[in-house]
Formats: sequence, C-alpha cells, structure tokens
Amino acid sequence: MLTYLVRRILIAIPVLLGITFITFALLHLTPGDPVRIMLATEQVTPEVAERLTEFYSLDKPWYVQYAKYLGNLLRGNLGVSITSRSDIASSIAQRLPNTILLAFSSMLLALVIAIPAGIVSATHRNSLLDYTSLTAAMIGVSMPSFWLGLLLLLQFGLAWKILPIWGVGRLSNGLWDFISHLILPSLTMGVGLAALLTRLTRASMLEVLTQDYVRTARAKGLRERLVLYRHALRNAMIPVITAAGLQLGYLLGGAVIVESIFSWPGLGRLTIQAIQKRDLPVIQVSTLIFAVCFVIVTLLVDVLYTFIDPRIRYD
Amino acid sequence: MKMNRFVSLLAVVLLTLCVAGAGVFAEQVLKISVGDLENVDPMDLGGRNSDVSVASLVCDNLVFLGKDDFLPKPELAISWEAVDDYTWIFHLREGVMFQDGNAVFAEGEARELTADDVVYSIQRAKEVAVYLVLSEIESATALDRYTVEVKTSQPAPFLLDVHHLASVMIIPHEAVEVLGDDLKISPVGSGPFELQTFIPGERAVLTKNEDYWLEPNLDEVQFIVIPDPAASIIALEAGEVDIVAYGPADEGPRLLDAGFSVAGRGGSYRGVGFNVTQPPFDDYRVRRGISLLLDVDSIWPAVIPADFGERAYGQVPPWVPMGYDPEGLMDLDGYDETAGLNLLADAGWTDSDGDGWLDKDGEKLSFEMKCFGGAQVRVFTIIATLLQQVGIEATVLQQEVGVWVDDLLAGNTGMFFDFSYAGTTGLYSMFHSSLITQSNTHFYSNPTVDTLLDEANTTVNYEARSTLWKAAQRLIVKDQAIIPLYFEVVTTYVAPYVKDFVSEWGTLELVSSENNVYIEE
Repeated sequence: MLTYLVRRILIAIPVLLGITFITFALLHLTPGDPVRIMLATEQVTPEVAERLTEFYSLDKPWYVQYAKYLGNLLRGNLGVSITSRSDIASSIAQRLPNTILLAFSSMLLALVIAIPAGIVSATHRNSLLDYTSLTAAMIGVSMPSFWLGLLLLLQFGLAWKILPIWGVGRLSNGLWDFISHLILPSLTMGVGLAALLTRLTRASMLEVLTQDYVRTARAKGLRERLVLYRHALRNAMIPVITAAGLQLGYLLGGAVIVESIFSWPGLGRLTIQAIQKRDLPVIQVSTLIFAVCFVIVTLLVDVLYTFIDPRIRYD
Repeated sequence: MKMNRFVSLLAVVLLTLCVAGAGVFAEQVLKISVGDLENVDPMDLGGRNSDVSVASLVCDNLVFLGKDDFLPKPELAISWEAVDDYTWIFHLREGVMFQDGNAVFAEGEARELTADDVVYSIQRAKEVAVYLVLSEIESATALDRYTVEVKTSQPAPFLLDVHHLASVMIIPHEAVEVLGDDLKISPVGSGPFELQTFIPGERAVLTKNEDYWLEPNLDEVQFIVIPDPAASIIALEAGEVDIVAYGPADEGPRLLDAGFSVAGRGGSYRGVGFNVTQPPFDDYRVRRGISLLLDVDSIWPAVIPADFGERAYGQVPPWVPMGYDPEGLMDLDGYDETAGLNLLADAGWTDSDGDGWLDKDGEKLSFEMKCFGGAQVRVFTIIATLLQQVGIEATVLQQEVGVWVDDLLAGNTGMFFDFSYAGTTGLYSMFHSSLITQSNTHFYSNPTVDTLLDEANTTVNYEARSTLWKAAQRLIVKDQAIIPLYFEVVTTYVAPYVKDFVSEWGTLELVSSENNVYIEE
C-alpha cells in the first residue's frame, strides 16, 4: 500500500507540472490581458497601463513568463494578484479553509440524505416511497442553485429572520454562530448533490440486490437487515463513493454561485473574479490548487475502496 | 395598595428613562455592503472602490472632492496656492494626530502629522503606487512644520484630481517600517476611523477616532462583503446592512418606493463609438447619418430608470464640471430620419434594388455592433432594431470582455459600445492621437483636437482649461466619432434612517467639513 501511495504521489508531480503548463498556455492563447481590459474600459490611464505591463512582465515572451512563474513557484512564491496587489498565498490561505468547510459539510449533508433515501428507494422499488424519493431527486437535480439559494435567503433570512444571510460563522462566537452560517449554503449545495447520489445509490443497490451472493445470503436465512447493510450496501457503495469523490473534487474548486449569494469567502469566487479580470497569477495558482485537491481526493477514494471492499489490493 | 401603585409608577418612570436613554446613547453603527475587500494598503489601492473607501476613512488626504461641485476642498491642507505654473504650496492643518492604540503607536503615544509626513507619503507613493499618476511631481519639500512645496516638471492642472496628488493618502513612515506587508490589512493614518478588523473577502470593522479634528457622529463603521447584487438588496431590506454600494440599477424604482434613497455620485459614460478608420465608418456621412437615425431621447430611458442616468451630449460627465457642456453640444444632437437617410444616400447608400436594405456597389450596408454583457446589450438591441427598420442590416455581437477589448484595440471593430468611467482626463485618453491602439479605441486623429488637449493639459487656470477642454469635446462630437447616449450614475442605496451620506468620489467621506453621517433613531 505504501509503495502504491508513493508511486501515486510521484505520478502527481508531472501531472501538476503539465497542468501548470496547460493553464499557462491556455491563458496566453485567450484574448485580452488584465492591463488592456483596464485600459480599454478607462480604469487606468495609458501611463499606468504601461507601468503595469512592465511591472508584471506582460510584455515578455510567454516562455520567459512561464519560466519566471515556475521558478517562483518552486521557491514557494505564489506571486501577487495583478488587480488587488495582495499576496496570493495569503488570499488562498484565507479562503481555502472556508472552501473545504463548505465542501465537506455539503457532501456530508448530501450523503446523510442520499444513502438512506437511495436504500429505501431500492428496497421499496415502485412503491409510493420510491416514487416520492424519485420525484424529490428529480426536483433536487433540476433546481438551479442560484434560485434555491435566493429562495432560502428570502425565507430564512428576510421573512423569518432565523438564519444569518451572509458570511462565515466563527467558533469563537459560539457553536451556533458557526453552524447557523453553514446551514443555508450547505443546504443549497447539498440538495443537488443529494439528489444525484440518491439516484446513484438506488441504481447501485438495485443492481447488487440481484447478485447471486445476496440471494445466497437470503437463502442462508440471514436477516434482511444484515443482508442489506453487510452484504449489499458495502458493494453498492463503490460507484457512490467514486461519484461522491469526484463531486467533492469539484466542490473543493469552489462554488461560485453559492459563495456569491451567501457571501462565503471561498476559492470559487476568487477564481472567477480572477478569470473575469484576467488576473493571470491568481488564475494559475487557483487552477493548481484545484488540481492538487483533485489529485488528493482521487487518491483518498482509491484508498477508501480497500476499506469498503477488502478484495481490492494495490500491492 | 398605595404602595403597589407607587412601585408601578416608579417602574414605569424607570422604564421610560431606560428606553429614552437607550435612544440617546445607542451606538451609531453604519453597515455598508460592498462587492469585495482585498487590500487596503493606502499606497496600493488601484481602482478598487471598496478598498479605497476603507482606506480613506483610516487616512486623510491633502484635499477631498466637494460633494456638489467635485472641486478640491480642504482636508489636511487648509489652503494651497499655485505660486507659478510649476510650484504649489500647501499649508497644513495644525494639531492633527495619528491614530494610537495600534501596532505603530501605543495608546497615548501618537505624534502630530507634519509636513515631513506629507513629503514622505508623496515620495513613497511615487515609488510604489503604480496606479497613481504622479510622474508630473518632480519634488516635494517641507518648507516648515506645516508647509509643503510641491514642484512639478510641467504645468500640472490635474494635480488635485482623483488618481493624482488628491488620491495620495498621508501615512506615518513608522507604519511602513513597523507593519511591512501588514499595511495591507491594518493601515494606520490620521483619519476619522481606526481600523480594528480587516478580513479580505469578508469584512472590515472601524471605530471612531476619538482624537480626530472633527467629531464623527458614527461610533462604528462596518464594511460587509456581499458580492451577489440580489443578496445585498435582501440584506438591505432585512436591515442587515444600511447601505449597498454599487447596487443593481434595476432594483432602484422598487427601493425608492420602499423609502430607500439613492446616493449615487459619479458613474460612467455610455455611448456608441466608431472606429473612424474602418469602412463604412471612415465616412463622416455614414456616422452622422446613423446618428440622425437614432432617437436617443427614447432609447436611453428604455434601458435604465430615469433617476439613475442622465442624457449625454458629450463624453465628459456632470461630475467633471471642467468639461461638462450640454448647452454647448446640444445643437450637434438631433433626430431626423429623413436627413439621416439623405446623408447615407450622399455617401452612396440607397435601396437601389428595392429589397428594403440600403446598398452600395451591390453590397448591403451591414455591420456588427460589438459589446460585452450587461445593460449595453439592451441598448444595442434597441439601436439595431431601429436601424434595421430603415434598411441597415445592423446586428449585435455580444463578446466576452477580453475578446471585446482585443478586437477593439486591434482595430477589428467598426461600431462598439463606448464604455468608460469618464474620469477627469478621459477625453484625452479616449481621443488623443498619440494613444491610438492604447486607450484611443476610436482610432480618432484630429490635429486640432490634439493641440487643444495638449494645451489644456498644461493650463493651470481652471477657466482657460475648461474652455479648451470643451472646445476639444465639441470637435470630437462634431466629427461624430461618438454618439453620446447617457451617463449612468452609480447606484448606492441608502436606508431612510441614514442621514448626511455622500457617496464616494475619489474617497469616501463620512466625516468632513461638508457632511457628518449619522443614524436617525
């Protein structure tokens, strides 16, 4: 296992390097640079634009810029944002914990809803419960997060005034402050995820329940609960965990809409703002962080497989 | 029984006193919703309005720009004079103290702000404030404790404008030495409020500077980051914030009905721009003809509520009084469909084959009007529809902003949505021939205009400069390099109980010689 982990980590290095190169190349193929955008919309004067172009080496060939970026990266210098002039490392350090918190809480919420709902749906196939769960999942998948978020905000924040409508809660202000700020954004993100994972759990359970080993278990006279949770569920979880892992990877890249609606200072908003303003250093670092998160999550999912299904071995 | 009555009466009296007391002594806290907060280093603010607002409450400038006339008003400098075209003398306010109780100055150990601090701040800004235009300043010298002499390398009429010396915030050198990079999150100055908390992307909390030379009415100011416009309006209506800076204009009429007010000041110019070197717009008659075909008075109110805009006759907006000149430009404006079509016919564009489209040498008068997303798409859709009705095949091409900019600067765009914040020197940036392919996206070149703008740029006398500026603008509009549409005012929504609030222009002034914001109980 250890060898496998080391190998995977070593493989990740060229993958991440490749990502930095592709991001860099794509950004330089994309029309517009931050200074030209500021200049054309008259946010800076030509004199300032010239100074900024020189300051950020935007007038240098792309390979010079890339070498400089890579050199800084290897020295642990993530650079400075062109538009905010703030240190990117501290911006990321401030936002990443918020993004991780929101991603994990949304995923937790989604799994808490999806797994029981999927099991009930599968074990009560074509019943009223199943149809209700299917309909709810359909609504959950179809509901745009910006709409659901605003709806929750209007109801819980404006009409009932029982939950805060902006920002991150702090444990130093009490547990309720921390949790209450998390509820609405997690719910907004978790509902869609839960719907997706419910459908997947149901389909996976249905497939597993028709397998021979389940039939054998039942024939041996095992209690249904034991058959479901010890034999069927563990096997049915492999595709669910794979999907959940991928979704978690996406969530760790930040959720722009939810972050904006609930004023949640996460990576998504930072990245999108950087893309809109062509803030190249911030885009490069955000993409790299996103890639690192993905690599870690897929590795964790692979490791998790071995706990769920002991037959899976990487040695 | 009597005893019970007495106790009840006493309770009522005490309760009344408590309630009244609470009304009198309630903390005056102002909460402002902003789009973002990133870095409040007073020397490194760029064009980030929210960061400028926070920093301008912490630090003082030499001057601030008046709420009605946008002209420099005394702040740290109680007076100033241009001794000659190259020399300015600033007389500083005496007894102004830097804030204490922070990492730079311990409680009770702050020192007085003097001419040396002004000189230091100007010199540092020249070195590090890449977003400011200070190259015109040759030297700054402290003549005595309260007098500063600024010498410029050329006559500098815009010295006391936004992005120039007026935007330099005065800080103590100790702040730079002690705080280093932390200056971005905990600046220290001499302003009316002291920064207590600054969390980028989240919030900033400032409390009253008890030693300020004016007595601020507010005890605390909070800036809260709510990036989603709809969410910020919900927060305003829920009473979670008192002011929404740069709110969505669409919400205006509804909020006005609900008792909120709009404190917009400044904004941006909106119009149609032509690349005057690209066919068919290289022909004046085509540009003028199209202008005459557009009923601008009907177009712009269809796009933004009337309270949030103003009809434009030129590029220079009302908040740049030096060049704002509707009376001088109105005669160049006009809606006359027949005259417009006649001009196009003079240029050779007629419906020769009777298919309903104007053509010339077998080619239809057809072009794309390029813009990026936003209200401008609606403006251009209306214009395209109007032009199609008279036989011009105009279509709207909405581009991503980077693509739009690249196309514009490369000269690939004939007709575009002219978008600019229209700062004081905007006319120069947009139309001086030396800036073609940079900020002169019209590729407009007129030696007379260049001469007028060059001369204005070195004319310190306000009236003379104003005359030159207006003359240049008139020529540009007469050449029909643009079709001015409207000025969009910044929409800052204010709760009814917030009084004396003046929206930012260059800096945010909550306490000044012109206003002192307070919350009405």
